[in-house]
Amino acid sequence: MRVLLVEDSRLARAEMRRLLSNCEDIEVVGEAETADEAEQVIAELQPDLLFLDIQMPGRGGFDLLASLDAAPLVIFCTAYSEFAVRAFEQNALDYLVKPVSPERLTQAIDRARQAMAQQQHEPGKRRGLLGLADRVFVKDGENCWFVPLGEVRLFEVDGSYSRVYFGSNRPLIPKTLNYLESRLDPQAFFRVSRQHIVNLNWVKDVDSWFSGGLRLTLKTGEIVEVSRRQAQHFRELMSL
Amino acid sequence: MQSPSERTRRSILYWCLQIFGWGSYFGCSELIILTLAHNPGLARAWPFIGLEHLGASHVFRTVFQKRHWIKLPAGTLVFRMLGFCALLTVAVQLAAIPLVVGFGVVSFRQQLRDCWQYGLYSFALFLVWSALYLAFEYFFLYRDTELNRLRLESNLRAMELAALKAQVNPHFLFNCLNNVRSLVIENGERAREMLLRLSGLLRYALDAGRHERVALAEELRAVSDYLDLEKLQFEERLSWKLDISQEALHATIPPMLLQQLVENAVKHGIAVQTGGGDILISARTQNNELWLRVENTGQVQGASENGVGLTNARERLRLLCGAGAALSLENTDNYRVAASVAIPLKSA
Repeated sequence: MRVLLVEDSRLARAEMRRLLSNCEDIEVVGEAETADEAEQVIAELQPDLLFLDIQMPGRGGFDLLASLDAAPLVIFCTAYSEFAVRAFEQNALDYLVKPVSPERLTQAIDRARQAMAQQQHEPGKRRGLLGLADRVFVKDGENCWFVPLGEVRLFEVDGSYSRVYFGSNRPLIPKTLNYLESRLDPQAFFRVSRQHIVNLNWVKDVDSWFSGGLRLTLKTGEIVEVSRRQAQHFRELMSL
Repeated sequence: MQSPSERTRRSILYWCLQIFGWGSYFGCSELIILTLAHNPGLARAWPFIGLEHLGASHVFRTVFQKRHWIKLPAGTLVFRMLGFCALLTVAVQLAAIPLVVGFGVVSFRQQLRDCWQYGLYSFALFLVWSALYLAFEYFFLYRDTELNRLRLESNLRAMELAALKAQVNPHFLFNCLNNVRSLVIENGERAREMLLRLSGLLRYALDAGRHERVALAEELRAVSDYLDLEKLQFEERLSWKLDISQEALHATIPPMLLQQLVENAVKHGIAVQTGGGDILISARTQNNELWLRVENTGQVQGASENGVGLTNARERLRLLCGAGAALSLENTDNYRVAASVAIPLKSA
């Protein structure tokens, strides 16, 4: 497993490297001192797993995750557990408090291995695109979530932001709908109009709408219009 | 300080005692006049004379309160009270003349002749009244003082507790332990030194509650322990300079005051910036005051002027150093912020 350490204290990074050197299949491929640096290194090295400090100068660990398209596997590290509870609730893989004991680290890595094995068995995963099994990290003010894209039923334009519909939450993410469209797997997510991208798995009913458009009813009751131009594509896609 | 409702309650109690006291005294003597003395004129004048005494004693109370006689030294107070009783006696006697003469008790001439007797009698009444009144005032003064003392004590307690919690910042502590753990491998000697520093700092923080004042020199030792330990975390991102005058070293401050300012500088100034920053700690004495200043890279937002931490620090400073102490936090330019404290000098 290829691991990236994101931690502002050099001594703490060195300590984590030493601890990880005892684990057989772990390769520390890089280190980052700040969120900005981490963002670059992640794009460059595509690590499988992050050890992420929550409190860092500048942007913190949560901000880093929110800026990534798909959330990688993450083990949070923190000096004091006031944040950790929050991280755990967001179904992070695991969280560790510093100083980290070797036993606790082994447990966390076991969980990471399982999660990674699961990911690799997911069918139809396309290179470079975000599929239903990928998870995104969403941060809206004080609230954070790891959301599997399969649970997201709708993206809605909101200025230069997008509103993400999942469960009973509708947080905003700082990404445009056009950008999301380019990153999402078109087999699963369909741009129905200027306003919306719909997760096709969540569509319950399709009705004709005037002037050649369509009207979709989602399983949760939301009604979304398909523009006339996209309706043609939609019919083609559904008849496949 | 008494609250408005407390003042009203006290006023009501005063009036009850007044009416009961004067009423029972003049009521009883009225009965005696009616039954034994058979003097209908005096019996008619007597209630009015009673009202005059009540009024005069109330004037006494008004002057007593308006002029804050309660704060006078005992000798001056007794002297003033005697004088005022005499003044009231004369006033009451003069006011009684038209009453007794009008109700046909005695002739004007005879009243003038006997007035020193009545005067002495009135004077005695006022003396007894003022003694009772003084007891009343002193009782409440004592109770107020006691209440204030208790209130202050509980305030201090609460603040000590909060300060204690703030003193050992768990984030700092665990990061520190983790860094030292790593340092053990890298540089064992230095790790051992850092453990000494950490012990020193913890001991100092735990003992802080036991002293009201410590010498600045002593506090500075704890501060430099703290900064050395933070240096493990921030390395080249944290630097600091001390500029302390010789006289300031011997001045005393509430323990952990400077330490908390420096910790805040690290937490809000250094730790939030990717490039880190520097801290300048200076102290000097001037105009019989100690001036402490912690300047660092960073900016304070307007709203945090009323932040909980700062408000607590101010309150603690006020309680420990009196009203002469002041704490302020402001941006010195677009990149730096400074916390300043002025404390009246007090020898160790």
